[in-house]
Amino acid sequence: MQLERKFPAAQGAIRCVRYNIDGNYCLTSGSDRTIKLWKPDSSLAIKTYTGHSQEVLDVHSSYDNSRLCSGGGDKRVLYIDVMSGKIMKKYQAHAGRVQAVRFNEEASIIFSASIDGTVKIWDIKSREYDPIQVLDDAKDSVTSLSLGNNELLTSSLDQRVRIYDIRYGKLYEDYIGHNLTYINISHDQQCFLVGTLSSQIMLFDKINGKLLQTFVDYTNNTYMIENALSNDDQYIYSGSENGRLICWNLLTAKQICSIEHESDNRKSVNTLTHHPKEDKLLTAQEGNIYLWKKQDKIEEKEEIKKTFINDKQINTSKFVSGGFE
Amino acid sequence: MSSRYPGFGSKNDDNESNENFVTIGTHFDPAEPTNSTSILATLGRKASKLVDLSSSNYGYDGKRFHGAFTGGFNAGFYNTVGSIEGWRPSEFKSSRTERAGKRSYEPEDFMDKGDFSEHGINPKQIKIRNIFDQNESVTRSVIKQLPGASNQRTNEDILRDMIRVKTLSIGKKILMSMGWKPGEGVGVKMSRKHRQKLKWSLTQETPKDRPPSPPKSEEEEEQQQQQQQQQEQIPGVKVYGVAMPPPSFQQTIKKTSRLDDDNDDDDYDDRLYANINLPPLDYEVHFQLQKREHHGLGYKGLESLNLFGHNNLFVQPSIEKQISNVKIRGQAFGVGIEEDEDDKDLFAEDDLKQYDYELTTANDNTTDIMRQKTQENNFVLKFARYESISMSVVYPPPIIPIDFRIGHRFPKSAMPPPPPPPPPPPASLSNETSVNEPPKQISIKHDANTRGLLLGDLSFLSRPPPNMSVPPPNVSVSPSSKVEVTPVKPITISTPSLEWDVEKERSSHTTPTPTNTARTQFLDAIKNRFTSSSDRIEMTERQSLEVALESDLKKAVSLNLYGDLTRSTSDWKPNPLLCKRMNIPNPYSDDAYNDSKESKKSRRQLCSNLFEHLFTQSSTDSLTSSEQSSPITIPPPSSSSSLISNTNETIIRSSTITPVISQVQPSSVPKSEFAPIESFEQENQERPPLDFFSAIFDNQHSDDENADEQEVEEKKTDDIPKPINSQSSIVTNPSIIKPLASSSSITYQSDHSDSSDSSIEEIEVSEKSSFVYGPAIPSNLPSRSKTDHDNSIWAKLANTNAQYEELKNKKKHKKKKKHHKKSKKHHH
Repeated sequence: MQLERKFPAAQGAIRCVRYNIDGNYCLTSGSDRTIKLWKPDSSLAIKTYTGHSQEVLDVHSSYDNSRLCSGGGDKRVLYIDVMSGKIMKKYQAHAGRVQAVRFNEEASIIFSASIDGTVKIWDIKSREYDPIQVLDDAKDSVTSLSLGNNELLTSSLDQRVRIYDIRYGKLYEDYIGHNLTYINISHDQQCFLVGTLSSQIMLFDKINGKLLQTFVDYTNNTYMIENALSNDDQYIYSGSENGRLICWNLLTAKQICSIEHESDNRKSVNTLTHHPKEDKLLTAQEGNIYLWKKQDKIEEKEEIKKTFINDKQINTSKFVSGGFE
Repeated sequence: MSSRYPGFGSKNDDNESNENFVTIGTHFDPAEPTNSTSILATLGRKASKLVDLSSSNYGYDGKRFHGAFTGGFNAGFYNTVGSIEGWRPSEFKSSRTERAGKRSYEPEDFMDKGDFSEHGINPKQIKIRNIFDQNESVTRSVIKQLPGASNQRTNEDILRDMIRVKTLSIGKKILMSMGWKPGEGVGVKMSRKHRQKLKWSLTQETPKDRPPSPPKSEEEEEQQQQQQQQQEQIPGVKVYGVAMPPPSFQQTIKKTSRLDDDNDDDDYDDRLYANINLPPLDYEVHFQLQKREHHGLGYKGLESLNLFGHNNLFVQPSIEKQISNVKIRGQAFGVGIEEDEDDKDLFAEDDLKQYDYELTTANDNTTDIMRQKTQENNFVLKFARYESISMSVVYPPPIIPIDFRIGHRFPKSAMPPPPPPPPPPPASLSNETSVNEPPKQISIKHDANTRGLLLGDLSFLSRPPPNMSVPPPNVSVSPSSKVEVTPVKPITISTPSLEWDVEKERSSHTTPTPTNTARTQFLDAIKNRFTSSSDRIEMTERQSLEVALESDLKKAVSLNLYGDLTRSTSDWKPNPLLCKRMNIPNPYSDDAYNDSKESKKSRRQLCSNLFEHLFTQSSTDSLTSSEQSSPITIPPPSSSSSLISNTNETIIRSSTITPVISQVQPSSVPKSEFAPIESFEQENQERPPLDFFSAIFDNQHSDDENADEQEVEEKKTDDIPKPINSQSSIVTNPSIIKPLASSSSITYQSDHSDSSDSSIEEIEVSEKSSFVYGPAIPSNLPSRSKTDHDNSIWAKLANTNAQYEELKNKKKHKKKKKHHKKSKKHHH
C-alpha cells in the first residue's frame, strides 16, 4: 500500500471513517461530536453535521447519499438529511452507547447495535419512535453488525456471532471463543470475518460456521479494530494497535504488508474503510485521515481460485437526487 | 559606538563627523515632489496616516488615563470598547434551522489588543513601535516647516519622522537642549589634535601610578605619555602576566582599530581641522593596569605607616554602630598597677570588639542553634520527608478456589421460612388501648408498598396487596371481641409485608415500572442479565446445563472444531415489517410474530408464578394465624354490621349509598371490607378493563345506569388526592383482604373468558367471609359506593395477567370504554 494523501480531520479523534456507496465521498465521525463529509481524493471537507451530544461512534450513508444515520455515545441514533444537515429522526431507546449503525439497502430501516446488548431495528418510514424489533439475544454488548443480502450478522462480547437469517427465520449462534469486536461479511456473502480481542482475525464459513482462515501477526487486545475486505475478496485489511495498516492475502493468510502510519506515532489505527470500487483504503489514526492506494507490485502471483470468490457487483446509486452529487 | 539612525544616511548632522552613520543604498531624490504618486510618497502618506491613527489614544487598546475625577480609563460610550453599546458579549445564536457555526477560540479573543506584545503575539498590522515618538516627530516636522519656506516635506523627512526615537531620558533631553548630541562626550570642546592624543592615550596602557580616571588636561596627558615612553624604554622593568605585544604591533592594532581616523593623512587633517573644536570623546575608559610585582591580587602596600606603631592597621567597623547606646572610646578605665600591659599605648583607640557585652558566653551556641534551625527550615522547605509519602499497599488478588462457579446457587432451603404465626394478641386489651391503636397503625402502615404507592411505583400492582390475610371461613367476631380485632392487624400486616419487601427487592429488576420510561428501558436492557429467584431449582439446573454447554463449546474451540459443535440454531421470528422493508418474504405467517409481547409475557408469567407461590404461602400463614388468634364465635351478620355502623358512621354512609351491592348481595355485607382494596386500586389510578365490568354486569343483569354511575364514581375517585388515599389504604384489614388473594390464586389459571365467572365465585366467597369484620375505618375515608368497583377489583386481582395488559394499554381501554358505553346504550 502506498500513502497517497494524509489530511487532518480537525474533529478530535476520529472514531470511524466510511466511504459512501460509490466511493467518491467519505464520512468521518469524531470525538468532538461531529460528523464530517469529505471528498477524500482532494481532502475537501464539504459539510459538518452536528446533533450528537457525545462522540459519534459510527455513521453510515444511504444508498442514494441523501441521508445519514449515526450512533454515538449519547445512546441516540440520528437520521440526518445530507443536504441540509437537519436531523430528521432521533431514536432514543438504547440503554448504552450505540456502537454501530447501518442502513438496509433501501435505507428504509436502520439497524443499531449497542453495548446494552441489543440490536434495535428502526423503521424510518413510520412515525413511530419505538424500534420495530429488538434483538436481545446477546448476553453481552453487541460490538458491531454487518448486513448481508438477507441476513444480519452481529458480533458480541459474549464471544458469539449471531446470524439472523431473515429469509429462513433462523438465528444461528456461533461460539467463537474470543471476544469479538468487529464483523464483516464478505462480498460474496459466503463468509464472514471477525476481529477478536486475541489479536487474530478469523474467517468463517457463513453456511456451516466452520473456520476457514486465521490471520495473525497484528495487535488487537484492547480496542475495537475494524477490518475490511478488498472488493474482490482477495485481501484483508486491518488496523492495528501499534499504528500499522496490515494486509493479508485471504487464501494464504500471508501478511503482505504492514505499514506504519507515522514513524513516530504508535497510536492505534481503529477504523478503516475500503473503497467500494477501486483499490483504495481510508484509514484514520487519531485526528488524521490517510488515503492509501494499492501498489501494483503487491500483486502476488499465486493462484486464486475464482470459483471460490465471486466478484460481487456493487450496487451503485442510480438515482442521485439530493445527495452528494 | 551607537548609530542613531540605523540603515539610513544622515544629512542633517553635518557638523558632526560621519563616523556615527552607515549609509546603505542611495538617497531619494529630494527634487522629487512629494505629492506625486510615487511609491515612496504613498508609503509616506500611509505612514503619516498610521502615525495619526496611533497617536490618537482613543483606541480601546491604548488606554488613556483621565484621572480619577474625569472618568478614569476610557472604556465606555465614545471612547468605546469596540461598539456603540460599549462592552457587548459576543452573541451565540443557534436554532434548528440555522446552526451556529463552530467557533474556535484563540487566546487573542480574550485579550486586549494592547497586551499582545507582552505575551509575544505578533502584531497583525504595521504599527510604529512605542520607542519612536510619534508626537514628537509630528511636532518636529511642523517646527521644521515653519522656518523652511517650502511646504513640501521631503521623503527623507517623513522617514526620519517615522523612525525618530521617542523615549529619551530626561538627562539626555537636557543635554540635547544644551547642544549635546548622542555619540559625543560631555565636556568642553577640544581641538582635534588634542582629541586624537586623548584617543591615543586611552588605547595605550596607562601608567600604574596614574589614578583610574579619564585625563583632564593636556599637560597631564603629555606627562603621561612621556612617562609611558620612559617606561617602555626602560629595559629593567619586569612585566608579569601576559606581556603586551611589541610596540610596532600595537601601532598596527591602533591603525586598524581606529577606523574613523585616517592615520595616513593625519597631517593633512590636522592642518584642515586646526581651527575646529571637537567635542570630547564619548568613551568609557577602562584602565587596565599591568601587574609588575609578586604580591597577591588586591594587595596594597603600607603607604602611610603610623609612626606610633598602632595596632589598628586595618580599618575595622567600629562597634559604635552596633551598640549605639554605649559610647565608649579609648581605654577609659585605665591600667591597674598589677597589670602587665605597661607598654600598651594608653591613648590609642581600643577596639571595643574585644570586649564582651553580654553575660552569656554562649554566643557561639546560639549561632549554632540558629544555623541548625535555618538548616532545618531549609530542609523542610525544600524536601518532603520520606515518611510523609505514603506508599500504597498493593494486596494480591484473592485466590479463587478451583471449583468456584460463577453465579450463586440457592440451596433449596434458602427460601426464608414462612413467617411464624403472629402471637395472639393479649386478650386483656382494654377498650382504651384499642382506641389508641389507630394512630399507631398510621405510623406502621408506611411499609414498602405504601411507600411505593406514594412514590408512584406501580410495579407491585400485579402482586396481591401485602396486607391481605385469609379470613377464617367460619370465624365470626363476637360483638365483644370486635374491638380486639384491630390490634391484631398491625402484626398480621407487618410480617408478610416484610416478606414482600424481600421479594420485591429481588424481583424489582424484572418488574416494569410504566411510570418511568428511562428506567424501563434500562430494566429491559438488563433483563437478560438476571435470573429470577423464583424458581431456583430450574435455575440451578439451567445454570449447570449452561456451564456444561459452555465447557463443551470451549473444548470444541480449543480443538479448533468450529462448525456444527459451535453452532446452535434456533427459530427467530422477524417482524413482518422488517421482512417487508428488506424485501424478503416472511418465513412465518404474519400472525406468528407477536412483537415484544413475548418477552413481556414471559416476564409476566414469571411474576405471576412468583405471586402464586407467595399467595399460597401467605394465605395459609394468615389462615393458621387467624385461626389461632381468633377463637371467636360468629355473630349474625346483620348484628355485626350494625355494630360496625355504630363505631364508624362513615361506613354506614357508604353502605347506604351503594345500591348495586345491595342488589346482588345481601345488604348486610359490610363495606369496610372493600374499602381498603378500592383505595389501593385507586391509588394506582388504574381502571379495571371494561371487559370485567361488562362480564360482571352482564351476568348479573345489571343496568346501564349502574355502569354509568360507576363511571361517575370512578371519576370521583380519580379526583381524590393521593395522600388521603394512602391514608385510607393504611387501614386495610389484612384478615379480610386475604381471601381475595387466595381466590385469585385459585382462579389464576382460568382464562380471560372465565374471569367473570371466577369473579362471581369470589364474590360468593366474600359473602361467606363477610362475617368477618374489619377494623375501624378512619373517619376521613371518602364516602362513596364501592361495590361495582370492588367487584371489578376482585376480578382484576383474580387475573394478574389481565391487569398487566391493562396497565400497558391504559389509553386503549379508555377508548374502548367509551365505545362500550355507547354500544351499551344503543343496545338498551
